[in-house]
Amino acid sequence: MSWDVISETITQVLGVLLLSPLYAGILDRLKAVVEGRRGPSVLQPYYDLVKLSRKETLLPRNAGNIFLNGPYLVFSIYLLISFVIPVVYPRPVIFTPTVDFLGGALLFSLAGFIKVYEAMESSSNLVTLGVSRALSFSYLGEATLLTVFIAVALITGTNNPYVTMQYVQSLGHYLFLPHVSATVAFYMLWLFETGRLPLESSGMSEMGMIDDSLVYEYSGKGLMLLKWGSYIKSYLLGSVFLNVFLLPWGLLTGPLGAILDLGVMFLKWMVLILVTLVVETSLAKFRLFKVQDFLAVALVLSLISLILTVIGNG
Amino acid sequence: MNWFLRGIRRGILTEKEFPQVQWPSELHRSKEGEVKCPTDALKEDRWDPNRCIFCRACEPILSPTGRSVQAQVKRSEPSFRRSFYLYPIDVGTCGGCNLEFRLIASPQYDMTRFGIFLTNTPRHADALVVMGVMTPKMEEVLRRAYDAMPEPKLVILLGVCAVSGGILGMPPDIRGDVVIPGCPPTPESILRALVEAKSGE
Amino acid sequence: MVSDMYLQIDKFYLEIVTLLTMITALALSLWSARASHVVAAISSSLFILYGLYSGEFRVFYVVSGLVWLFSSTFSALHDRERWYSLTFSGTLLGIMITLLSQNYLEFLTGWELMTLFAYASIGVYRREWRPGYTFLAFGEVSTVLLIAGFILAYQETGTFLFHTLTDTLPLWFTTFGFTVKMGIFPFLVVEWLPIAHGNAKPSLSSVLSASMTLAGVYGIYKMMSLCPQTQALGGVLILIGAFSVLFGALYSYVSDHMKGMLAFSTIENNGAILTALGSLELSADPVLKAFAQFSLMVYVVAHSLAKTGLFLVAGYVHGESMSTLSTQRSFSLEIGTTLLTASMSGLLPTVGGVAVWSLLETLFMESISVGGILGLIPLLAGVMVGMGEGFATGAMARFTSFTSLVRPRGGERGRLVLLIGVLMPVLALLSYLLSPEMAGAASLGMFSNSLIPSGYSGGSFGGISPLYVLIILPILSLITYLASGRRRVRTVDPWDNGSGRRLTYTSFGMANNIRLMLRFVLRTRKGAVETSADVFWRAILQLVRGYVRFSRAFSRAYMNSSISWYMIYMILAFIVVILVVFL
Repeated sequence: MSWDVISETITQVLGVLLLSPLYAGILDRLKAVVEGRRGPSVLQPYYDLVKLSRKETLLPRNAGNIFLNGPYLVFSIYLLISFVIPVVYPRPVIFTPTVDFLGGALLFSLAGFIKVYEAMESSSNLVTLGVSRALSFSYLGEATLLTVFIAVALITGTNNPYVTMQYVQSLGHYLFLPHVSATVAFYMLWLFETGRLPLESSGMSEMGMIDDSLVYEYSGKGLMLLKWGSYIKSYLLGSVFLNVFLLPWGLLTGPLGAILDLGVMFLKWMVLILVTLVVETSLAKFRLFKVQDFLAVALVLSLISLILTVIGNG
Repeated sequence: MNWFLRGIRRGILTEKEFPQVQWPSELHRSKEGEVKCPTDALKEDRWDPNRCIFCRACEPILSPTGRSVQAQVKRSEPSFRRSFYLYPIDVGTCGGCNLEFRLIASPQYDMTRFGIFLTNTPRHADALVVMGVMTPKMEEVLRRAYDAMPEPKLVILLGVCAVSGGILGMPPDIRGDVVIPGCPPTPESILRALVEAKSGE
Repeated sequence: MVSDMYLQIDKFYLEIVTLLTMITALALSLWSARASHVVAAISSSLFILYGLYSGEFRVFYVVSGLVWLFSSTFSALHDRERWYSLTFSGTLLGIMITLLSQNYLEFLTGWELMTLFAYASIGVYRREWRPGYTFLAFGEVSTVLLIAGFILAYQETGTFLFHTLTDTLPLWFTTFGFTVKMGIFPFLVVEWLPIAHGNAKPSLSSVLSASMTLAGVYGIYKMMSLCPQTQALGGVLILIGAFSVLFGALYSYVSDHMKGMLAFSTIENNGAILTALGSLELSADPVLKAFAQFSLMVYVVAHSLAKTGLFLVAGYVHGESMSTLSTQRSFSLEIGTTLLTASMSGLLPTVGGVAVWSLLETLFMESISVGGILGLIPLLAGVMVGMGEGFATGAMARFTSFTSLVRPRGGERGRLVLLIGVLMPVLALLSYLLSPEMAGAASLGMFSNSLIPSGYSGGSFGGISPLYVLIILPILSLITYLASGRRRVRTVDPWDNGSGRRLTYTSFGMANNIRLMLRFVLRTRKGAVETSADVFWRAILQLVRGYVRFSRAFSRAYMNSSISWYMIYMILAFIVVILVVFL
């Protein structure tokens, strides 16, 4: 374990931790500009998190230990995942082999599972309403998450995303139809997992929320950790999408390279933010049952990618 | 695609300066005479802005001075300076305050540039914005909403009905930290009061 | 050597003692139920000890013994009826004989004994006879198939002992016999009807789900080790297993009957185990085979113990319909149920997570190494298993919510449940012992032998380290807790828009989304009490009714009590006999 690897690890984890709210803030600002307003500052998520850390924690009467202590566990799961996948640095860092790509998908499921349990423990009706919605799409969401992660594995014959990142850097492999299909599927899945329009509208309407309902009864430090966790999750999934599927080029190695990689990731994220901006401001929220159709299309696209790869191999 | 291109074409419509409150204006006695004020806003020749509904029944005995009515901010909380979430609750309005309150989220006034946001649950809220007179069924709801908010919190009374009952009834039985008179108050005065309540811009 | 012989004799004595104690338990049940259950528990412990010394079937024996131990302990604490202890220990005796059998006859004896005692427990007490009879009928179908397979094996080897065979036909017959008993697609009814509608008590339900189906898996595994490899059977098993996973999980998610939901979850997990068996059969690559075996064993361990724990939870919470339960919440029940359902949902760092991870890795590695059209089978199976896991997570969340989390009305302690729950992460660590190889990456902070890698002959595929996950998560949580500082906590009512009307969102309502979205598959009818149906059972019932109608019509047309037609039949028969004799 050399000092290089340790510094690269620290850069990656701290970069994920500290920079993930920034991207959410940039997206909100740009959305406001498209709506004709000046919009909140790009650092607004940071201000929100700091203010929340100073507020009181309210405990619903029926809730107990899982409600109070769950957010710490959820946050730590997202932190663990930031060690495991190529979100800033293009080579493995400390603790990367803890789980491979498929195990990473299972860890995302674990975080969702604990969020559902702590939400249900609060015994509130509106929360249960949202949880039932979230659970009813989990089968398609989980299947799609597994299949896009495996699509990466089948293309290269190994479950190691770092290897795939190198592999698709050549244009011939990049324009390979299974890769393109898996990229589109992953983008659609990212929109679902991070609760973006047209699948879920955050904000004023509690009858339309899916992901937001899981934090509905929280306040204070628990809410801060859960919100931060959702920013980190959005960053992690989006970075995997960018680094392994959409734009696998441009990442540098070495301890200094790790710091420069934060800037490279920023540029890549601008591309993702601009595409998402156009999608979010042009489409209205779908009817609830149409979300199933959306996810089914994503699943079928990733299945096409898998089938083409397997038939091509044999 | 249409909305996106339209938005880009129209550009940013927010007003450039901090909202300058033009009206409503304070009133003073300019002529002698008997005044029958429906809300008892005139007491010993002193005009109470917390009671006046600007019905103009007292014209031309009372006339505007040109100075604008100011909101009273009895308590402001510094930790809300950059991030201020509001939970609006309408306990019995005529609808006027709702319309004016909604406008502060519009592109012209844009409350979000000051870090003020609306939320749909009191758990995530920092301030309770109460509008309207007290109606019997909403007593419990108002009390529960206040209990459901975490400390530190503020209570903002919006409009004369919430402050003193107006002509519709009794005001809600809650002590307000920020009092915004007017019937209804203009978006500029609401925004100014909110910015002062969160202690700064 | 002398020591080997010593071990052999020791094992023999242990086997005899274990069988005798179980027979004692059976006999004791005529006097005292509690004594019978205690002796059954002792016998289970002896069986675990025996299992630790056995060869390749070690995992099956130890896991069965543990399931029996927990079930009989629960019964010893809670059940008092003597006839129940009679049938319970009889069922255990039957399964024990099956697992210990040395030849086909003993196997069949144990199998039938198990079926009959279980039928007695399910069908006799309640006035409803259909669940017991259905169970018995399908059990006999499976026995017929087993007998057919065993006869073919006897024909080939000339003896009843278990010898290696060269023909694959016995494998096909016996496998289908075992899958019918396990309640695999399309015979889902075999599993859910007795548990959901019969009089199965929690401990018997857990034995039915976990142990009886384990005997089926043991049977298939044994026959696979005796017969040559058939890729066709592997493909078929993978597919029907994957379909069972999907449908079992779906029905479990929409079911509102507490035990019924667990029964469907058993079907789902049995499907996954069957998929593991099929992938063991499908691949020819030795490295991949070793890994497939690992996934099979871990899945068996994970499912059996977690399912036992969950049925015991169902025993602590009184009631059948999840919408009207009185939720019990205590620290042990809550944490125990959470850990158990985390394992059933296939999440790290529990042993269920290792099982699901290894199964999915096996399937996807196979689709790469087999390749071509045949490689599509494990691929589609993997996707279906993924979808099934999504439903399973939802179903388990509903289960825990309405038995422990939401609006608790009582605080019954369930320390046994907590014990089994804590076993879940512990067993994840023990999976290192089952793994074919281990690895490490010292340069990245993982010391040697801390990884369980998955690989095939073409290279390494991936790896996982349950140990590190189990260590890192609590440490990071602790760091987050300490870094976030002190907090002030105040208790309030939940926010329901201030109405205060105390409306409750029931468990039935939680699954309504899927009932409506998947109307076509579930045949949802609005306004009826039973809103979703097992389409396979409906199809079987349609077939049966059609056959009954046909046979009635045919017999009326054929035997129409007219003398002239009978004369014609006799003349025709005479002509046919003469023809056959001359040719």
